Amino acid sequence: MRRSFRSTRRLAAVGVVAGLAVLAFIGTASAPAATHGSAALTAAHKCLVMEGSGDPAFVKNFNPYTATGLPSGQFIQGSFYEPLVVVGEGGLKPVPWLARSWKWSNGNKTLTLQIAKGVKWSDGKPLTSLDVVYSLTAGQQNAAMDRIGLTGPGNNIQSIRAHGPYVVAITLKTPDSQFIAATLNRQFVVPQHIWSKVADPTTFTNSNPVGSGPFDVVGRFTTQDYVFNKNPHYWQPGLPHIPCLEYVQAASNDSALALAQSGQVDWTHNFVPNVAQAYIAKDPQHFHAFYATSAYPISLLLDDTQYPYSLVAFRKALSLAIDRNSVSKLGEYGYAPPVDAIGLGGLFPQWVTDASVKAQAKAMATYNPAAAKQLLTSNGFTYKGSQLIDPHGNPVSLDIHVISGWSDWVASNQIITKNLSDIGISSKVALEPDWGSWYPNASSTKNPTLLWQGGSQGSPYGYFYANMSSNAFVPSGQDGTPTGNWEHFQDPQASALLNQWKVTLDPKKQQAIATQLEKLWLNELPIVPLFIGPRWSTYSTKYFHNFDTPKNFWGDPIFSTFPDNILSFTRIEPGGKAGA
Amino acid sequence: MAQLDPTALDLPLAAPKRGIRVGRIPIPGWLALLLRNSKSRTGLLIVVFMVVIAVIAPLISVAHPNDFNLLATRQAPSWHHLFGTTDQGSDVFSQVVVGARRSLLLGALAGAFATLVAAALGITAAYVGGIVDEVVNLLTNVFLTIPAIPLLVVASGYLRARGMWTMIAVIALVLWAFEARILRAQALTLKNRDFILAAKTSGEPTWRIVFGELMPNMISRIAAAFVLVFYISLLVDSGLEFLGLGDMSATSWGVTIYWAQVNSTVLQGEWWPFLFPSLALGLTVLGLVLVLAGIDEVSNPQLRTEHRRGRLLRLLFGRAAA
Amino acid sequence: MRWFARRLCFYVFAIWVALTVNFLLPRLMPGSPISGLLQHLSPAQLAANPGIVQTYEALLGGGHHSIWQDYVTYLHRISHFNFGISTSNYPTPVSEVVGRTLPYSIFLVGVAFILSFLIGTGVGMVAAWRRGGFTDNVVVPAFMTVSAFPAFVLALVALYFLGLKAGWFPIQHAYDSNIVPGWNWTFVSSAFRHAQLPIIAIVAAYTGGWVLNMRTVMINTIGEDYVGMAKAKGLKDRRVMTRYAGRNAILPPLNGFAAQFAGAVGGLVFIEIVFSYPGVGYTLQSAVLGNDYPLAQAILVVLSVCVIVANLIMDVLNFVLDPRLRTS
Repeated sequence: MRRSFRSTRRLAAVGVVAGLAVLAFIGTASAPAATHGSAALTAAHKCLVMEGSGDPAFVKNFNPYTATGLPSGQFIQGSFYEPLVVVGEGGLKPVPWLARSWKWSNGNKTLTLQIAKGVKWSDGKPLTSLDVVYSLTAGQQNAAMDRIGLTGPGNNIQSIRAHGPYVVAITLKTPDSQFIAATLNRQFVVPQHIWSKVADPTTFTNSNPVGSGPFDVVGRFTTQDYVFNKNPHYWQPGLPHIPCLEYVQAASNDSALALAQSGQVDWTHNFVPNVAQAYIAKDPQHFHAFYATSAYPISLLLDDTQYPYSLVAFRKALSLAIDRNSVSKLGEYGYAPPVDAIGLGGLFPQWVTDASVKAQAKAMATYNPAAAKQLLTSNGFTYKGSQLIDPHGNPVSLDIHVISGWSDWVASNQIITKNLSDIGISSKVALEPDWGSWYPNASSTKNPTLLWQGGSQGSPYGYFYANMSSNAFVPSGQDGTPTGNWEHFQDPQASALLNQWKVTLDPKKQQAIATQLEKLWLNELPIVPLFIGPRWSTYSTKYFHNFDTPKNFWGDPIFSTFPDNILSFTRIEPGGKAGA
Repeated sequence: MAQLDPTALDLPLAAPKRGIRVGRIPIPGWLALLLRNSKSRTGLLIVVFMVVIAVIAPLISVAHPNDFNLLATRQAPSWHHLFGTTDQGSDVFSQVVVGARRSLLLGALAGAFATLVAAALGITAAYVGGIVDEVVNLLTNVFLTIPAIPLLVVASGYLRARGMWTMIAVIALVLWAFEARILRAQALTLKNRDFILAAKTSGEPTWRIVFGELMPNMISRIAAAFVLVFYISLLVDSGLEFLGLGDMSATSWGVTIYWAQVNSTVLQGEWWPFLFPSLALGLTVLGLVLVLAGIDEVSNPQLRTEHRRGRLLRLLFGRAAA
Repeated sequence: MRWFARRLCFYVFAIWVALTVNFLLPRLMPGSPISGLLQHLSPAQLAANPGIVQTYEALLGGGHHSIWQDYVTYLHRISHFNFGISTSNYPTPVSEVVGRTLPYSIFLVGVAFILSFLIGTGVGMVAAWRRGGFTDNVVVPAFMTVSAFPAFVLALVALYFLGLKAGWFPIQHAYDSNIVPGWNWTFVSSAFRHAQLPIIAIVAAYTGGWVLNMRTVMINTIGEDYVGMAKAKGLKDRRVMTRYAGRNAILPPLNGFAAQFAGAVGGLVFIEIVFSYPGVGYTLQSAVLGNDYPLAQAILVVLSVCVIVANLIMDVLNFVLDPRLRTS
């Protein structure tokens, strides 16, 4: 025992001294913490602060082609790299951007773009038509840089040429009414003198990005925060209004919500359950939620080639049997409004004009279990007790698969399966633990599931194309992701109509085609549209104002959506404003 | 996780308590001893209470733990929902009582397996000595250099199916080593006792000495080690579930806490889906800690009674060089 | 000296085993390692990490070679500190990610553990000295009760009440968002401020263990002759407690402290998660959930090395301080 007496004294002394030093340090450091807390928060609001949820530590990767899923790439498109034209979600009027004006000619096959003058890259070189041509044709250098389908099988582009420093002519093989809204809309312009020298654009991290956009100066970059400063030489005078964009790490749902609640973050696109209580109530004057319903519907998807899902009457009966109002109110906290049987009510109501179509779409989506049962029995279905038997004599079952963590979808499915049970279908919610076990069987509709739509935002053409065209058709059992033909459905008549629409630029004719497609849709009902998948945006007008709102709507309110986000970045203004 | 950590609770060695009888009362001696000690009495009460709750869970739960009731979501505790309801209207009380089953069973079984391996290896090694001891000692020490919590996080991350038995196996595999070290050290002090030497000279086979003589005499130490690993498993398992590395579709305390966290319930002012499973967990661990403290006091009377010299001290300090 | 050489041999062996376990872990699970790993990935992740398949192939051998060949390549790479590329931090090398996160954890654990150790041994000492007194009857059970709760529960409670409700502490990250890390006062004070809440949670979670430990050892020490002698000499009670009994009793917990310290660097994952504190544990968890196996493996290796280094330091200390080891 005694042997260690001396050593103990030494060790203990070291320990005590170290401990005291630490205590003293914490003491001094904690004093300013209490007083400076709120001051630091205010100071941080020079920049418009945004956050995601569950972000890893930030790594510098500003490659606009590959980094969009990373925190550092959230809005590299839209801050550094600019679109030619902005067609806001929902087919709004196109806003000219780098392309100041455009004109169709040559039988609607050639699109001539007038490029903005006096635009400079952040390294001082001028942005010219050559950069635009390079960006449009970059797919030839590397397929990963293809934004316009140049390397895809259905390439419709004949040629892309520069005529002088400010004119670009794009010639198509056949006229394409969707070209501006669905294709050109996605394109951003990168500097040729940088990117043409990049050996492998897929691994290039672009850590010193050269851009032309409203925020093209990388300010601070740490693993938990970064700042893009305003472009001092921006070509649009007076823009942007705010000095910088900032993105902070929120490592979990909890920390994301806590940051938003404390007002440290101005803008998020996180889903906040019960947002009125969890967010708005914390500062009703300044905290707002805009859950934009200009979006495609979430639908119940089945493999339409499998019996009895292949029976139109069965799908129609499902549509009648589901109580969409309850699903919306209880399952989706009321944020996601129910839709009619066509499902375009949120994004493209103006495209459903025919009164009889409207009425029919509404009727087909109105909760009426008795009518559903009757529809089934008049089409060969029978009942054995309360169990529904299909015309082949087999009991009908339909289990809906969903990721267990998606609480709102789980809740919605609880209601739906109960509705289906009410008309005799044996139905329950099958919970999947994670994305990996859910998605492959969902995207191929091996399991019935709720799923979103991937159609373009310019017009409902993409929606009908994905769900009905033979060109988009994906055979049963295969992954529907490439075209969005999840349900493995095609219709020759619809395909013909869509081909016609594709080459028709006249809005009236397009409208007529759309109406015909809607009638076909209601006849076949390839999917069962349920409710709008809202575009979540919560924002604070404590330090900034003029956000994208229902009254002041210019496109998708999610800050990572290109090109809609560049409108927000250039329109949001500094200064708090109560009640806006 | 295991904040009341093995090294912090390295058990002092004690002479074996043999043949203790408590009058004519027909309860086992060890239990009587534990019940006499106020700490372990309280601890046992808590643990037994929890076990009873788990056993009768189907009788007292008012709903299936994962049943949804969308008309009764996020309700504060009331007579109708004793512990309130979750975001999806599941009854938290039912989740806690039913969750007790999986949590307790998983902790107990993981603890039991780890103890079994540790006792068999550690005691045999200590008794046999020589190369066997060297190898076992090396094995345990090597295992101890890989930090347990990170190893568990990584191992369960690799697993695709995280069923109950898998988790038990993983936790037991990671936790046996430190237990083996404790038990080996304790067996070493016993192996030269008269009764062991006597058995040896009378020609008893090794396995009979290990299982017939050494183990019964170390039963209080083994039991203590089991209690220790039991609650460490409880904490570790709930921790892994909290990180999303458990079976997220099962019902257990950790899973309920995980969903409360994922749905940010506390930040929305709904403390109940978080508080009640946490309380159940903390209470059970406290109960086990108290039982352990009681075992300590019973087998090391010094901890109870003042001014009595202990020979254990030197053994304890001898460990310093290990 | 021979003793010392033996210890060194053991450490080399231990590191080798840790590396091998790391190598084998993904292979022991059913299915081929690569397809198993890729199965975890979502299409979005695959798209966001173009080089991921090659990285995995390089890491796991891609099934093109025998397991022995892979093993040799693996050891060779690790011996050159080449842990590959972190897939979730693409294209940052794993070594850089670990180097960035390790200091935060060491800092957090260092400060919190010293505090928790000082408080714990202090309380344990007093409790043992005054058996049945206030400390023994109230403070010790209180610490025990608090420490019985899982660390993440305590951390969440601290976050909610002290961070959110009272607003006394920052609730996440290692420093203010608008600061660039560097050796200047702004950053260091910010780092301390952000560490406070995690430290409180760690102290709450871990002190109970030290209290119980110190109390036990102290009670045993009080029974020693020299303590009784000191008392008999009529020395002041307080002086006997600290100088005679306490000083000797603290040795075993101090030894345990070193061992625990290294283990805790990675073991604070639960605390780090709650506060989004960018330390090793937090990085490990996100690596595991994000299927970043190169990073997860590297962290495990580094943490094992940490434990071994801590043991080595204790060995050297013991060697220097303990004459018996020197002469043998």
